[in-house]
Amino acid sequence: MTGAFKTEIEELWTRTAGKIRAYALCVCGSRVAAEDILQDCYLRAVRGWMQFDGRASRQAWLFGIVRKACADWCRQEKRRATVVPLESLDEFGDNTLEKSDIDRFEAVWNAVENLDAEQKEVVHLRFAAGLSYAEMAQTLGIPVGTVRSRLHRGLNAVRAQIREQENGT
Amino acid sequence: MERDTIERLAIDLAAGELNEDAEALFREYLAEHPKANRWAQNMSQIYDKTEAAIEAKISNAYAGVEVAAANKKALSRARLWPVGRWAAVVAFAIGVAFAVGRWSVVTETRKPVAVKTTLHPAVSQNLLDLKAKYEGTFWADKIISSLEPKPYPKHKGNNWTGTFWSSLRPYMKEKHDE
Repeated sequence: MTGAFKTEIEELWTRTAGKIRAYALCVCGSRVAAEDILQDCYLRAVRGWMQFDGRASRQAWLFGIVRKACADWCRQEKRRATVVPLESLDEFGDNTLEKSDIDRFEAVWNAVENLDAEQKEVVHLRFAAGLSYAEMAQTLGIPVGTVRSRLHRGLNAVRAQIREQENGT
Repeated sequence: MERDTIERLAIDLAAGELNEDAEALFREYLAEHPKANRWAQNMSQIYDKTEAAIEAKISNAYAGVEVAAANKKALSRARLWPVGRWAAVVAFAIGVAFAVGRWSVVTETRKPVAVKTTLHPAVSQNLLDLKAKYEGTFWADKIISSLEPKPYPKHKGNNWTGTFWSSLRPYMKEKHDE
């Protein structure tokens, strides 16, 4: 491993590891899965380092790998039937949130979960990974305008669902 | 501007995606249009709420990790306690054994007994005398060979090679004659 490559990958890790972990946690809903995906993605990135064509940023390229890994994980989870993994049971078991916070956020969590796949992805990339419009556009391979529309529609849907839940209760 | 446009711009503003000029213009517009300002604020609140909810979800999940890690450490310590106790018992036993071995007195060992083998006097004192007499000659060798054990001579009767029927037939004939 050359010095330059090592420095570059360490710098990428510092910049993206937290984002990837947060994004994977939101997509997969499992802390253990998020950790596995983070390790797996970096392994794949190191192996395919030379395949990077430079059309997008390294981060966007890496998030492409992360999205694929998350999709694979979700597909495998569906195949594993309806058995609830133990780690997801204790995911929020050591709850540090106040009851009032849970009540406040629960409606939003449910609303985000009910979004359609494209909107949910943009919401997760924005709020969990903290990517900018341009970075999201690079990652998803779509124009910035489309990212903006999806986010807008997603947040509109979240608002509508929150209202529905508030009216229902 | 339409409500949809106001809300889109409000999201862009909250996300920090508007450049300085656009932001200034939009804020100016909102200041002049209270209704549009309400729509924008409403959407900004949704944006902030979603952001806070997702951040809380992530930080809560990882706050749990720290608690879980601390619990795990305590648990592993608790699990190791019996192992440590047994290790202490074994170490104590080894120490006692070493001390006992170190300070115990060595018992005296028996002196080796010298064993001398001789020929039975009754065997052939005469032969031994003769051997001494004829030392170095042909007869001395003869005497030595006579003192060595001889193979048991094979009895002639043991050389019988007949079959079962050849011995049974004469026996049956004898029985018949009787």
